[in-house]
Amino acid sequence: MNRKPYLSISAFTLVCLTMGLLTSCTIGSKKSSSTAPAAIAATSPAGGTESAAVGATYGALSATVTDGSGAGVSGVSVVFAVVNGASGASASFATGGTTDTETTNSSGVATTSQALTAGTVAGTLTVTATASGASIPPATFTLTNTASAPATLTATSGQGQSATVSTAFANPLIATVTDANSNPVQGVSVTFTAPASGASGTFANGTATETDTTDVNGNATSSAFTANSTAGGPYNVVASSTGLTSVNFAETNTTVVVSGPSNNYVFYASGEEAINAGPNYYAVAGAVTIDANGNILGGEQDYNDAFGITATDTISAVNGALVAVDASAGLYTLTITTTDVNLGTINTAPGVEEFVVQFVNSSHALITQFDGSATSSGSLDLQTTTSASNGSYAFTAAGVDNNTSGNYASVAIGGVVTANSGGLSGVYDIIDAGTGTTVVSTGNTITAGATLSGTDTYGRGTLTGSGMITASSVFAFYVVGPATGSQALRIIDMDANDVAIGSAYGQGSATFTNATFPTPTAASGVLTLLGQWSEDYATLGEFTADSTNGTFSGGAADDNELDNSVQMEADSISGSTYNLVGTAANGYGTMAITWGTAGPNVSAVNVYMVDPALNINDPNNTTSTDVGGALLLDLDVALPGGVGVITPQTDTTVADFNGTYVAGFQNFNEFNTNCFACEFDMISQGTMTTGAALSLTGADSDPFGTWDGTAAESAGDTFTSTPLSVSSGFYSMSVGNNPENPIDATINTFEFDMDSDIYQASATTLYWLEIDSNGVFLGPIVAQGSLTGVPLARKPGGQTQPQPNKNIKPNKGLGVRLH
Amino acid sequence: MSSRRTQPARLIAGLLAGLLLAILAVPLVAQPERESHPFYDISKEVTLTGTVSSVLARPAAGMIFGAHLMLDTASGQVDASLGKWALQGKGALSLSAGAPVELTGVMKTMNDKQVFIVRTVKANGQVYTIRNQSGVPNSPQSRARVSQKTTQGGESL
Repeated sequence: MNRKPYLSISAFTLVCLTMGLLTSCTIGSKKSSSTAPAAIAATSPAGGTESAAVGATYGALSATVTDGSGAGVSGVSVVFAVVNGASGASASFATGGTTDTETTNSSGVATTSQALTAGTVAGTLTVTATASGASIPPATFTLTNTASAPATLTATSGQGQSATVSTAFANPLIATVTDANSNPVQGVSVTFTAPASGASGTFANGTATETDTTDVNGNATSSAFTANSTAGGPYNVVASSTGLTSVNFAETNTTVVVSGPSNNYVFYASGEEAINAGPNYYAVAGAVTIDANGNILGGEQDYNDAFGITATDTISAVNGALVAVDASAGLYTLTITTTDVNLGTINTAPGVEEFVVQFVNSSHALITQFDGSATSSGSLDLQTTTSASNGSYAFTAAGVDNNTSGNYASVAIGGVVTANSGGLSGVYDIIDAGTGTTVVSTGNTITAGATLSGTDTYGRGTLTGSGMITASSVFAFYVVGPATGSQALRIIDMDANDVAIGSAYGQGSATFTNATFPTPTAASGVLTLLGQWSEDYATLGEFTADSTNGTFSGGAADDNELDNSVQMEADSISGSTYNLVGTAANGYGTMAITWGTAGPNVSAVNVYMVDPALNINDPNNTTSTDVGGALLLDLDVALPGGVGVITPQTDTTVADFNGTYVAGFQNFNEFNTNCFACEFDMISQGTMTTGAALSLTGADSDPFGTWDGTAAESAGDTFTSTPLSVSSGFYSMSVGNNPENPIDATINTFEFDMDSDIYQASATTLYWLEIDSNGVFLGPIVAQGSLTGVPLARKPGGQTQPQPNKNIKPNKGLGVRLH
Repeated sequence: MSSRRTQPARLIAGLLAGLLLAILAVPLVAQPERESHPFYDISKEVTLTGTVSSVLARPAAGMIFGAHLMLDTASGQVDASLGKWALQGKGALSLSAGAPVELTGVMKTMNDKQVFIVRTVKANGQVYTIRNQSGVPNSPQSRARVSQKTTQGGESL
């Protein structure tokens, strides 16, 4: 309908006069004006803005026309017109059109009378209100068509991806929520859920599920999604939102690209941990699969301190690597990620352990934990079989008993047992200081019904019900090899109240007599004993057996009992006796060591013979001349916890002590007043030039700050001396020699002199011992063989690189710095 | 910074040097007499009473490994060996000069010196067990474990 835009002045005057008002008239609360419209403004809704869901009706729109004095002007025709938004958002009046013309009332207000309905497209549009016949700018209403209720969930982006195990997928997962008209819906919660097991992945929160909120575009975007260590797929990551049909993102975890075969390696070590309110004794054993590029593909581990941490853990591929520090020297770091977040934590993330590895040859290495959480000495060996053989084994293990009387004190066991189709029988000895006094018990019988489990893919099995240490003790074992013949196993007591670690070695078919001691072909041997924790001591010597009398016809040994202040050097042990005849089992023997000079407490030692074809130090190296020998258990009440070996002595020629060697030791000392008998460990590689110099470069782990009070792991440390050949098979390095020739050690910029002696079993196997009164160490010096076959340095890419150990300090720039 | 820490001369160091000069390629011998084992013979255990003269966290020159307590007794001062852990960790022995104490242990001759190997210390109304009955040092973990068990008992390690 058309109306006159406004009244004429004459008509307006007439009306007023008729009402008897001469000077003015009022319209509503405002004075009416007789002037022309000067402005039009959107007055309702407030601010001229309004929202309505698509398809819904907006409230009425009002515009007010005013004159120059601000008074409303009635009777003005106002046209409301819809202008579609850029997004296509629209609205229409009830008539289906886009305009509605209304006339201002007595207050100058024009209000739409037709319902205005939002179109189906979300977005912003405008409605203009124009005063007809007046040259004034129109009023503008800003209207927003909002999305209606969520109706559809869509997988928009990130589906169908592939990523290498333990690495992040390239793109996040994006799910979009829209309404029935396909408009994006903002502010909707969407939950992404990956499979709880098997091939799957985790979000930034470390779990398999995450909830995100849709943005203005209706998109819920996940954080980075990382494949777990299990290859497989496609598997579905489900995106869900209340009331909507879930959608799937199909993802695939791919295996690590392996450029060569992978192998399992068995490791074991014991020492002192700094975590868990340490120093505490601890032991660890496990197996890992390492590919030719040094990637850790998986594994498992047993860790026990008998003081709160007793855990069998899975080793994942996440952040695991064998990384070459100096491949030509055979020096590597091994980083493994376990499922126990109590481990590591000092210089590595919770659950992550790092070892420094010095390869002796491609199948054998010395290791020490190197992450600040603990320090230890042990070995890593190629696993050449995962199946344990039946037959007889000699074994020893040492650790700590925290069980009977609450004394956290040393314990050691040894014996000869027979494995037979899952059963175990035999005899064992034990010395245990964890009972209030030091108890020695020999000739004990393995409890009837003791059970050996089968082994898994990592060569791990368990022994239960043996009765050793306690009735409830459970031992885990890992098969090392070799693939044929007698085997070596690493064994670890996983009782929460006691811990012990050691090895078992097959005895083969040999019949052991005094005449075959220490081997059928060698009458001489080098013996070692090392005790830690309750008593820190080491014994190292050489002997020649007289099988006719069961005595040592000659021999000398060092004995450093730190806690008992006994430092004996090259003292005679000639006349000591041994017996392997008529004993509790074949290969079970006794030894009584007598010293030329009173003092040493090492006296009663039991002997457990090993297959003459098996190499105790390097089980897979059966072609070595260092095969056969025995395991030793010290049964002296003053020295609980001591175990050792006998290596046949086959070559004492000084000139043969020549070439490239790997050496290591486990050191206990009182260098730091605040940490008596605390431990540091060293592994190294270098050369011995006959009659000239021993020169080694290595790495040291010192989480207790025994050197200078500051915990550190260092590399590039040096150890040099000119060993003095004193007698056959015996070398002295001491400040007491002339010229003095102690080991000149430079560790983490600090220099130390250490008096030490070396006993030579052969050109390829020697041992050394520190003989100082404030420190003791024992360790091997072994010839380095071919490193062909050692995994290559892990290459960048493919997996996340391990984080550098920031606590490692450079050493005067002398050598490599790990990482 | 670097430093050189020369270890204290071993018991045999001087003798060794002389021997090496005089007799080449002869095994090192001539150790001072030491008592034979057992290291700690509980049948020889005695009790000493006196007052604390001083407590040494680490040994002075010539002393055996570990911490020491210098005890003033009626018959003179005694060097009492507390071992490596008595002053370490939770529940460590805490003594000050002038405190009356009662020590149980064995007197031994080590490194040509008399030293009292302490097994228990009675002080402040408590008995601290420093070593087990075989003379093996008790660890701080043992004290923690036993103190949990015997909170009401009055004896601590």
